[in-house]
Amino acid sequence: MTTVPKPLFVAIVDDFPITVLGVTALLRPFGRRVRVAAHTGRLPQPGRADVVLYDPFVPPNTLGRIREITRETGAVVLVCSSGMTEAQVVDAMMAGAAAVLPKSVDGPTMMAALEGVATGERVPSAPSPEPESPTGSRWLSESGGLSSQEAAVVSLLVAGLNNQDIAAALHMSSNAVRAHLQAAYRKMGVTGRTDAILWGVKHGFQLHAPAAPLLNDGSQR
Amino acid sequence: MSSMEPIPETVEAVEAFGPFTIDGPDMIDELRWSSEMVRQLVPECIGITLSSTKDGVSFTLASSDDDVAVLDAIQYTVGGPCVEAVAAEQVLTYTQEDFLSEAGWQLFARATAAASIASTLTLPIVVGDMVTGSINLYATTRDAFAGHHAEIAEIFGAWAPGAVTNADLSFSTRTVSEQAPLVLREQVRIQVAVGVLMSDQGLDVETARARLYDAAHRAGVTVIMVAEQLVSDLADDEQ
Repeated sequence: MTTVPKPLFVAIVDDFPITVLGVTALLRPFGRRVRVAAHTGRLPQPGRADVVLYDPFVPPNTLGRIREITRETGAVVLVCSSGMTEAQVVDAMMAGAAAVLPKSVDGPTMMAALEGVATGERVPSAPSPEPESPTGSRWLSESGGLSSQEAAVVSLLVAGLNNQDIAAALHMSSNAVRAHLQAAYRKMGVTGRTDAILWGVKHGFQLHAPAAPLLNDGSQR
Repeated sequence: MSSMEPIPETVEAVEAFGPFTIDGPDMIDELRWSSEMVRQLVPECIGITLSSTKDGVSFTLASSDDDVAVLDAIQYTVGGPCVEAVAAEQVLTYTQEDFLSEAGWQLFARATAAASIASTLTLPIVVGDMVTGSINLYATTRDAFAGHHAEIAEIFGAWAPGAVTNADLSFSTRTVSEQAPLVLREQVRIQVAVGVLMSDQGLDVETARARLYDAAHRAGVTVIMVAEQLVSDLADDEQ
């Protein structure tokens, strides 16, 4: 007896019709592996969706709604947006997104990401590519020429996170975090962490309010 | 004799808040390499502490031998290593008799003897005309570092004429090193709070820092308490 694998149920929440059509077209080649449904102004019933595709950067959508979606639907949230900077990728991850993809992503990559986050795998997140992201380019330029990973690490450092928490948030090792920081310090012209925090503030890095688990560095409140 | 290894708090500080160098290898690797070089000159050396004036923290490598473990039980502290010799440009030596001239030091002297630290060497690290840090070395025999000041200074890029011997027989820098993770964590919290004030109130860094310290002073609480509250309020506002 042949068993038919259960398809992946994907809900697109509060996005433009053209996005729904586009995602549906992108995923059509994957046949019965995936089902796509659009939801506007309401969320899927609990347990009805495996993954919610959500764009928190399209008004009136918000980053704060990501956790609400997860809580109310039981689905993981895959953020898919356009024109995102590295800082916005970090924002989305810290807001609870399982992964972040640019809307320029191709079908196979989108499918792999959906299946990955649905099974709890770590899916690499990425900002929008340069041609699609003039704000991202400007942000990088203003950030002293930091690479995207260096900028992401510094962004979390500015929020006061220690290396282990940065590593957990960005799915990299603590050694990698220290290596990125060493390279970033050189580009920033600073010699240590406290100087780097001030540099970040002066260069427009937001002082995020990290999610509670990210503050678990053993400090006493 | 076994090699020197970083004490747990030094490992924790580097892993959570490193790097502390912007070029070259990891600081712990650098210290390990330096400690091996020192061991070739002074086999009796069982401890090395690097102290940063700028960060106000210390990092310690110590031998894991049993005699050094005795040090863990010792909590006597004396003033930190002296850097007066930097200005005097001469080698200062504190003898056991100097310490024993005060009755209060007698217990200390016994404790240090039990701990097997018989000599220490402190070398300032000077950049320009500023002391940016110091290196403290600890050995189990008297005069272990005699005649080696210049060579050891070269290993660490320190300033040999500023050497001070036997100024830290209690290995007090190890106790300071144990506080490094806490000190660094608080420094970060305070700096983030300064950043919050800069962003929210459009202040420059000096004004923001002054306002933070002034607020703590007026409230009769520590600066870190005010900083924690500011950062916590920011988190609450964004939720």
